[in-house]
Amino acid sequence: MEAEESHWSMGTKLEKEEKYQEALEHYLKEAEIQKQRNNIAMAALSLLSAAKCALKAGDNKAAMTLFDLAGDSYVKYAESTSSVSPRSSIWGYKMASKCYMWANKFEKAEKALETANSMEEKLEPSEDLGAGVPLFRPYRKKGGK
Amino acid sequence: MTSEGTYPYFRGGVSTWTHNLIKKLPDIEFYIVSIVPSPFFRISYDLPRNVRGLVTIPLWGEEQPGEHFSPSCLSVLRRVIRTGTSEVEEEFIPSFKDFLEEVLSGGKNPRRMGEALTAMRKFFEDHEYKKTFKSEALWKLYISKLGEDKLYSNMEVSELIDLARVLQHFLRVLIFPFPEGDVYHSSAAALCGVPAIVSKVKEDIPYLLTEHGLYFRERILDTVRLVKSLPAKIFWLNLFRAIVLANYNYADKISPVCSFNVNWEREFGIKEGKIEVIYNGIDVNRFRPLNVRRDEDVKRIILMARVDKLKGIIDMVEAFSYVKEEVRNAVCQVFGPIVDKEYYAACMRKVKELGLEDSFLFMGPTNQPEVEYNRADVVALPSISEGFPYAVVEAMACGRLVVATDVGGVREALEGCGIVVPPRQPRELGKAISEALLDEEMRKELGMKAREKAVRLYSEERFLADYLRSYVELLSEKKIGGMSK
Repeated sequence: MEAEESHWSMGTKLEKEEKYQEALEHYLKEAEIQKQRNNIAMAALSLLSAAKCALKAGDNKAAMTLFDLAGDSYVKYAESTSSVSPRSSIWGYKMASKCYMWANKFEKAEKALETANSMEEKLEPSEDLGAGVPLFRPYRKKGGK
Repeated sequence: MTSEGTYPYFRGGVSTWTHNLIKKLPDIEFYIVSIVPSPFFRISYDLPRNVRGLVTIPLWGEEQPGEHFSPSCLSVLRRVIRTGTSEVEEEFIPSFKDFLEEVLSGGKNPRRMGEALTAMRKFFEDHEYKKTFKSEALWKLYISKLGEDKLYSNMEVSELIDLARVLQHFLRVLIFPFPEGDVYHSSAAALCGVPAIVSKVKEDIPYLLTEHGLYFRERILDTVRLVKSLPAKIFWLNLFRAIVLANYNYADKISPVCSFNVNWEREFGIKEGKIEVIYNGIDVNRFRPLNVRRDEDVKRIILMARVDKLKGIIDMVEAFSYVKEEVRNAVCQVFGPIVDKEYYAACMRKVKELGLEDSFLFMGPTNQPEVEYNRADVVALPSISEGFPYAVVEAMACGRLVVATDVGGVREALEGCGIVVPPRQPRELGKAISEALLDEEMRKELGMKAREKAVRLYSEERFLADYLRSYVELLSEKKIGGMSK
């Protein structure tokens, strides 16, 4: 069941081998493919990976640009998923905020975080069904806690 | 994706969950690690195209562990030669000792357990498994460790040998190849989590754990029922507890399928921030109210469950005898495979004993569950243990009234739109079903509410979005977490 390696796999492998520039190129190709397939979350992750590689390769300018693009993708993902999975959306905004921080886009970072926080406040808390939970104490020989 | 006794060899709720998740996230590549009792099972699913590989780990049924991987004779020979007494004593026994102490303490220090498993796995990369376990020093260590405790020191030798033998088979999980993944996802906090734990310790690979049924709770039920001697019962429960705790400790994120499981996870001291409930999702367009042909002269109860002890079918037979007293034209049909033949025979004896041969029927599996749900007046679930059963959610989405036992996540699913009764109380179950069959208005009202809730909370769309995000989240956090700002 061996299949052709994806750009993601190649990028990961090259990153491990510390070939950052080559890894970056594969991550960018992966981001492009995922964008075309409308997999915004995966595209965002690929851009983030590319940004990290640029940073490790010492190309700070490219890294800033890529972090900014990754942030935009996470926001796009957050917007696209808000009606289906609010929790996914909140996480997307938070992740975008982190990427913007790395891109030194502080206003955008602040705005994404505010959106995440305001959504979080509106999210229904999960139900606590605490009653009737049987307890289990492990047996330990004397002297143990 | 790692699993135990489920996908892709056995059908059931966890396998359905795994199959749907993999198939419907076609852009994610999956490798499957499947722990099975023996290598003689056949794959029951057409593996989706995005499955890149399958590692099958049989715990039993092989003379030479891993032999169905056809390792070359030379490599086996090399490993045998390398496995001398001194290697076992110096390189294996220290980590086995840590492992055993962790087992005996019921998982006092999960990190120590993770490190011991990783070290043992490393040893088996170059050394032979069977020869290692034949080591006299290892046996002496085992006996002396158990002998330190009065509880175990009174055990018979045959019992000690049995425990050692089973333990040795469990550790076979360590000798198989683990695929290189970006994220490990285990479908239980069980032995199948071991590859994830080892990969976490060794390479910091993110670990996502989904809990369906509660592995530890189910092992308690099994152990109490199947293991006769008290020391052996305690040994196994402590072992399972240690494994569960190691899984909880190393998982970056735990996604139980219902809030009920969260209570147990909290009981084990898991930090709240690590837990996020992700409900099972179903195709609400397939499972919806349908116009189907129905026999208006009978009241139909259906069960969508495999014939297995945990499903409480025998309780249902008795409950149905009470239903028949109130609703003479009631019939009960069980749709699902017979997985436990002895249990099925016991159910049939009960059916005969109660004179229900004409009205309590085992129908076998169905390919059109949505049609059967829609033909039912009531959908029943008499289980003794459950995670978040598909049968309940599917029936809800079809707008059916569900009467079920209060186990696992059933109560939270049916809150406000179904009826729950205590488990193992056939009279209560029968009474609730009778009332439901005799009250059409209630059935319609609750059925409508059930459909609304299923569409809102248990859609496949949401389920897939949550898991996709979980994978991306773990990877993104790892990427960004490795940098300081």
